[in-house]
Amino acid sequence: MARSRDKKVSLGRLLGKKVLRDTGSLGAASISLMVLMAVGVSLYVIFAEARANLNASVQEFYRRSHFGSATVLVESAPPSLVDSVRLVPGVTEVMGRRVKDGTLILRDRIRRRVQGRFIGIVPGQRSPINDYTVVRGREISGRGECLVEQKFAEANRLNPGDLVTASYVGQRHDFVISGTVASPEYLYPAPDKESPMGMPETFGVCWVDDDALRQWLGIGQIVTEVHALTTPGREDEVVRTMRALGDRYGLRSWWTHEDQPSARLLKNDLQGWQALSLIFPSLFMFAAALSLYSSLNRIIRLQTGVIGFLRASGLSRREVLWHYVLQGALVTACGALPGMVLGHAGSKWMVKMYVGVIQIPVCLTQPYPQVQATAVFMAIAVGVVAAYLPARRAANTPPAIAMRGDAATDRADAAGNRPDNWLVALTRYLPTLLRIPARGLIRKPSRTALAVGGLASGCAILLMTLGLYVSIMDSIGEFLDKMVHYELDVTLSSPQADSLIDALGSIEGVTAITHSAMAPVRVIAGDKQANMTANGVEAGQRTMWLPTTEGKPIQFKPGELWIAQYVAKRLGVKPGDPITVEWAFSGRQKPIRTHMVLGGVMDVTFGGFAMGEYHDLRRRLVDRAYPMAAYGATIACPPEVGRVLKRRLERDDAVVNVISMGDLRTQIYSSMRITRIFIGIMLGFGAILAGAVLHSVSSVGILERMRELATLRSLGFSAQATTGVAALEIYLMAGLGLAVGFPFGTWLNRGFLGSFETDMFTFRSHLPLWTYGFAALVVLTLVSWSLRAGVEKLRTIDLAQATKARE
Amino acid sequence: MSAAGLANESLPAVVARDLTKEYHLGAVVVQALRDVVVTIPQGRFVVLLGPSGSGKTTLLNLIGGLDQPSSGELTVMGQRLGNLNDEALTAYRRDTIGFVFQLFNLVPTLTALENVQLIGELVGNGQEAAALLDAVGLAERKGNYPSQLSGGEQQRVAIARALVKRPALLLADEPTGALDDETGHGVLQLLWEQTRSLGITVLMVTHNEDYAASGDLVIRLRSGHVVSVAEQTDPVPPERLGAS
Ligand SMILES: Nc1ncnc2c1ncn2[C@@H]1O[C@H](COP(=O)(O)OP(=O)(O)O)[C@@H](O)[C@H]1O
Ligand SMILES: [Mg+2]
Repeated sequence: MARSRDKKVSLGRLLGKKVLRDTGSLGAASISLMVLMAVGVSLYVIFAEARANLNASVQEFYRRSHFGSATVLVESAPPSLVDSVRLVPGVTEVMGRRVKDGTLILRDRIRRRVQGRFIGIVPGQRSPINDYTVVRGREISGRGECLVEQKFAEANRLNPGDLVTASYVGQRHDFVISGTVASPEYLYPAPDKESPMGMPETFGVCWVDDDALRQWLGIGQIVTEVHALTTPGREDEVVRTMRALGDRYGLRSWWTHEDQPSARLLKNDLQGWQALSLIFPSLFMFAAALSLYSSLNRIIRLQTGVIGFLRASGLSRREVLWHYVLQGALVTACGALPGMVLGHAGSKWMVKMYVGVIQIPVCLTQPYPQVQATAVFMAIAVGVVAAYLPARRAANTPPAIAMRGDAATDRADAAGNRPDNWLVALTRYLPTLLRIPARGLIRKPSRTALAVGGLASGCAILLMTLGLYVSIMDSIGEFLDKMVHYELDVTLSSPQADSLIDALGSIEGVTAITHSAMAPVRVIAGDKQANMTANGVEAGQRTMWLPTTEGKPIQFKPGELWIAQYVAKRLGVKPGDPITVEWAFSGRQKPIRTHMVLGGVMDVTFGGFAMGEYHDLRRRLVDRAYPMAAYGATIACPPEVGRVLKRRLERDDAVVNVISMGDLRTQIYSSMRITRIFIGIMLGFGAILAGAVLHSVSSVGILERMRELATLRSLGFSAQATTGVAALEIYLMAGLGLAVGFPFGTWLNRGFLGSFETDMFTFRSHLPLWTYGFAALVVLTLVSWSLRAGVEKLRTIDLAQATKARE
Repeated sequence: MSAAGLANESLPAVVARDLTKEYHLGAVVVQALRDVVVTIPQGRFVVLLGPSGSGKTTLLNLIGGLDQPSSGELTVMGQRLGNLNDEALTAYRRDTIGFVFQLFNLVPTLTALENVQLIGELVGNGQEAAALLDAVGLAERKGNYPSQLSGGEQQRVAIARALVKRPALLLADEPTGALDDETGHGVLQLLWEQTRSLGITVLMVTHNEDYAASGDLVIRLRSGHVVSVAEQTDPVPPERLGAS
């Protein structure tokens, strides 16, 4: 008798009904599974889509403003350099411009001085490359006006109409701010490639009338920067040629659009997201898969008789297999779809927030169907894979099982309780009542694996998050509390200004003054090199604590340079090895290099600086690079004295800027607020993960064991002893979960922090004891909470019913 | 294939020749069935009796195509089972055999009606499900889930579910074993009446000696051997069993 098509459809409908109701009957387990899936999918969508949208927003802004794809900076070159670059193959557009770095004096009450950069523009003419967008006010309309970069303006509360004074080697010029702008070159306001971060407070970029600039600085038709647009893919090659062309004009720096200072910082920032977009969803989907696996196993175990019957009635193996695989796919899809919607909303919010922080005038938040499809596909694939094994077990159920008296016979039971199993043998040494939970763990390996895996993942998220927080706080603390023993960090406009600093020594409250000299350098060892700022400090200085890896203070000696431990490792140098130190802007015209030895390595997280002896470094590098190098001093004094001194110094022409550690500390800790929110959200996710897994495991655990536990009770064990047995098993599981989660989390933490690592910066992955304690506390709290429902049920159980019940 | 489609009365329902089934449990060999020779004509209500462990379930499993004999030959409704692969066995079970189990094995998440429909639709006979539930006396309980039904009611659903296939051969392994005497008696009565009116051959395993009186044929097993096959020309309908 052939089954007609529509009959098959209605058979499918009935089996579908069964799937839906089975899913419903799992209750808490189904819901926690869907939650896990939803969270996993939405996290993936949030991170992946936000990253894509941010990238698209940035790229769109770059495109609109013709962000330069190849740049060289020179001391001074004739305009003919621009024409030569125009002829380089691959170049589609060129622009030469005059840019000088000097000091910007703000006209507030204390007349603060900050680093200024002045870019010449022609009013009424759009730059063909690196064009800006006016966000407040208007374009300049004369020689006395300027535009300032918006983040600098915001950080210093500058508004259109305000007056600023520009100063370059003693030459001053006043400008009225006509507007603030967003520039593709300063999304992260970093002055050069060596900057580890944007400095909106102390780095101000001004666009001024080109003629006014030339007249003010007394320079002719020279250019200091050449920017080019190239056909895509030829940037590296074009930069190489441009470097060769610019070399005779005092090459200072060069970059392609990818390692442009601001673009590079932006890229680093987004890199951390990529790690997040992989680690987090994976953990959640893994837990969801485990949870699905165990739930389906449970359904199938309970339905052994039914499956046997279906097989006995003529349902084929394949139909049974599909039936349960479909169930897995259905549950995951139910979680994945809301996850997709949530994820899109989340990514929108995230993009808006981030765009607000870096202030790009473009904010794209379109959905990425391929990201969502990937997420849903992954979720369903995970569901199908997780469902496959139990489903296959179901399909292979011998139909004869339906005939057997005890349909719930479990092969795993038999295997787990075989006397030759050494694990079971071990449990024989336990008191009888404890053997039950111990064997419970052994005889349901898949359930134990689920619980342990899920708990370990949750625990890993908690540890990873706490680890990130600890590392951030550590590196801030390392800098602010351990290294810095000064109150003021002064940058001087010339080495002659030293005397100004020396005069401060006699002021009451000033306990120590250290002179310093800085120059951006390349440290070269063999064929490897690293960019950093070389910093010379006086040998007996007392304002900075710079420890060796043994924790002793460093003794700086002439000819020796100290660098960060991990940078040394990357360069492959050991203390005593020869290194070449070269001024970062060295060119054929102005080569400044010196041979030193690695004095030792410093145990620090920020690797962007090298330390040497003050006079030695001045002689070897800094004095030779002046005026492209900097001099300064660090002053130790009480904060009240520091405030007074700061005002006094900031009024002086010989001072470029003064940073007070008190201000810096407040600024850093207030910027930590966002980090704290982020950490809080991540901790929440970790707890959700652990909680969802525990909830499904423990409630299922107790319900599944109801008959056994009820039997114990009817045999005379107290309700307390019985629930204790059930609870103990869950606590044992939690213990195992933590035992796996601790090393797993430690390992993940290392990898996660590693993804933030750059040439300039590395996090130390250090997890103090309290982080483990915290993770354990969260997990154990969740265990107690998740046990409540099951225990309540056990207390109010109808013994007569439960001892008979088979399902 | 329905019973109606196999009206060839001369064809026996089951022919077993030297049927042997051994289970190997490590080094130990359990002989569940030894050289069983039995022929069951069509349309009979056969009662299979024997102490626990005598091989009754094993014999039912072999006839139902749930398991393969170690040796011997088995022909059911003219079909030799020895050389059928899994696919063919699946089709055989779907089209020829109906099962009723001691433990009902209803799908817990489908209602009584849906449980019957599920199997009805498997063989293209879903529309009869409701009528069959009426026939087994569950007209009012169609929408109930198994957990809302008593044991006797669940077994009635199971019988309806077996009948909806119109099997040529219905195998029932201690269908009353999990029920109290009174309920069990009712279930037996139902099974007897329903199959008799449809002309379905029934092979029912039971512990209850009293039920032997209702069989057209009574087969007794002991330690895997058939010890007797007794034909009863005038079986007592179950409804009159209690009275005697
Ligand atoms: N799957 C099996 N594996 C091993 N031995 C079995 C299996 N099934 C049945 N037996 C053994 O075969 C014998 C007959 O069992 P069974 O047919 O179930 O007896 P009955 O149904 O008459 O009580 C018993 O000794 C039983 O232990
Ligand atoms: Mg039996």
